[in-house]
Amino acid sequence: MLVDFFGAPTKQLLGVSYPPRGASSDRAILICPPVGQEYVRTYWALGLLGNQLARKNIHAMRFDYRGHGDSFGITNDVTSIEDWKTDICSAIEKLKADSGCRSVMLVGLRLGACLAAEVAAENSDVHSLVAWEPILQGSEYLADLRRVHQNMLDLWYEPVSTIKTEEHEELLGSLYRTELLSEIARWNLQLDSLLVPQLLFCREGKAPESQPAWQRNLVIDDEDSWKKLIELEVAWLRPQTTQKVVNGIVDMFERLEANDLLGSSRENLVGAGS
Amino acid sequence: MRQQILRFGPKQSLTGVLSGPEQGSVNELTVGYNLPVAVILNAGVVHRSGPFRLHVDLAQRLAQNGFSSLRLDLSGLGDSATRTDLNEGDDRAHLDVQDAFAALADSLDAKRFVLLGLCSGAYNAHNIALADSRVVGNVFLDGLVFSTAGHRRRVTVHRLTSPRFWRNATLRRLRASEIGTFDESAPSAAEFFELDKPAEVVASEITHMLGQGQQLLYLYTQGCEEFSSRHQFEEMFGIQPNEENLQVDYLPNFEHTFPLVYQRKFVVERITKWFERFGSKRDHATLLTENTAAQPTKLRSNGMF
Repeated sequence: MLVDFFGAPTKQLLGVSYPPRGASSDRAILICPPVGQEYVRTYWALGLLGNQLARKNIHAMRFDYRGHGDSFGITNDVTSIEDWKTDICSAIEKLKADSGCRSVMLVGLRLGACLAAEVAAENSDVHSLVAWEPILQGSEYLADLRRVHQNMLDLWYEPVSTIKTEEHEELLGSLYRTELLSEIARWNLQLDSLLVPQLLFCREGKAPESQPAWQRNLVIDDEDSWKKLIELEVAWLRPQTTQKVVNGIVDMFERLEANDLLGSSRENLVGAGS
Repeated sequence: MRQQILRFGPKQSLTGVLSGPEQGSVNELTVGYNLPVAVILNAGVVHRSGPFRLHVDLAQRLAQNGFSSLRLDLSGLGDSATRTDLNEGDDRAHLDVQDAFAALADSLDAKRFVLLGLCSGAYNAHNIALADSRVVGNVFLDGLVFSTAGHRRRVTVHRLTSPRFWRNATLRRLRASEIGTFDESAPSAAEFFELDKPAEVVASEITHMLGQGQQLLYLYTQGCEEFSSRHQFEEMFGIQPNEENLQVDYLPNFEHTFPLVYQRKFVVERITKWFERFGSKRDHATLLTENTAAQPTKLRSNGMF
């Protein structure tokens, strides 16, 4: 495991690389974490994912978005999801340079899956997408966050309030610009028009309704712990699902290689064998 | 704030982020004046950036005031590997921090350190500070605590006189499906680490640290649950706080991990202000004026400082 900063000198992002344990590999994965307090809760789990992928001879890398962890900036400086997408693109460049791979798979968890999907749609260096419990509706996601936040305040020892103005809103420990939150609220995840192979891990009834031929959905039965106040600071660890995700990724790489889709033009995807 | 990764320990398997003042600022000069380096330990299992990024906020403010800091992952936490060189009876955190001190001495020529820790981090800091004369100060957030008769009385009085206490208890039941059910048998924050010594022993250890010339700052929140008044410190340890080398604050209505922005800002400012006892911006500016020809202690530069 290698931890280092990358990016422009005044905009350093933190990256954690998990080099493949075996011979050199042409398989590279960028792990896109969730945002806010979910980022903290899942830090350990995504580190375990990175290690397990490395053991499967995959070059994995995770990173901190701006305003998170050890990366530059604060969440209050983020004006648009474009900022976080830019960070993903920077991380892709670093991963390509470190691994020698021409293209990468993105693995995103929660809002990270949505950001990854947006980048995959625009960045031809992304050959496939794994979306783990993706947020389908931004408005619903924000409503859940606000409910947990309000429950937290309602149960405070004595009455207490947090920042909520026309410009800013405090949610579960982080301060956000309302323009960013408005953008998230308008979000509807559209994967059927995204022309890259996709692997989704969703709870029963939580998968997108329309499923194109290049999308596989695997159902997971983990409890939904994202909305409960008591889970706010509990480390989110799902060892069995993580194993399922790793196995799904390995299988996906084998299919991509068998169909010569690693690094191919996306037009080749339509009509390719499953 | 400038940052870089510091790898240290057995086979460089431990990870931390070293932060410091911006290059070229007047504060840079102070590195040569043997300012202590702040070493921030993990809070529970949260990685080095801290709960709600508390450790990053602290590092940022300390850097603005001229202090370098290392927020590290103890072995087995965050991005640090598990130690494989432990013998029976070894204190893992102690060994990790010794390695960190050695790395900081090598990269910054650091000779003095201030330890900061929340909850289990405070417990680790206490044990490490006892045994290392290079530690010149400690900040303990919701650290060692013992229930006292005074605490139990205050809790009882609070429950009898606080409508909000009963309101919250009722609300938790009514919203149980939404909030989740609190496990009453789960250990409180103060029980997160296994305390293996009685209050009397801890008191003698605190006295020892003070005798060694260490500056101590204890901050307790209402979220700690086992601490309910500044008076409790003397109740627990028989030692009276003062405004010089033993400061104790009780922060009512503050939660254990500072999830509210204004509370986090408050505690960061409180700690930053306390750090001024080791040197201040005013002192730095004076030093710069009076000692323009002075040569700071030789730095084994790693390109950052």
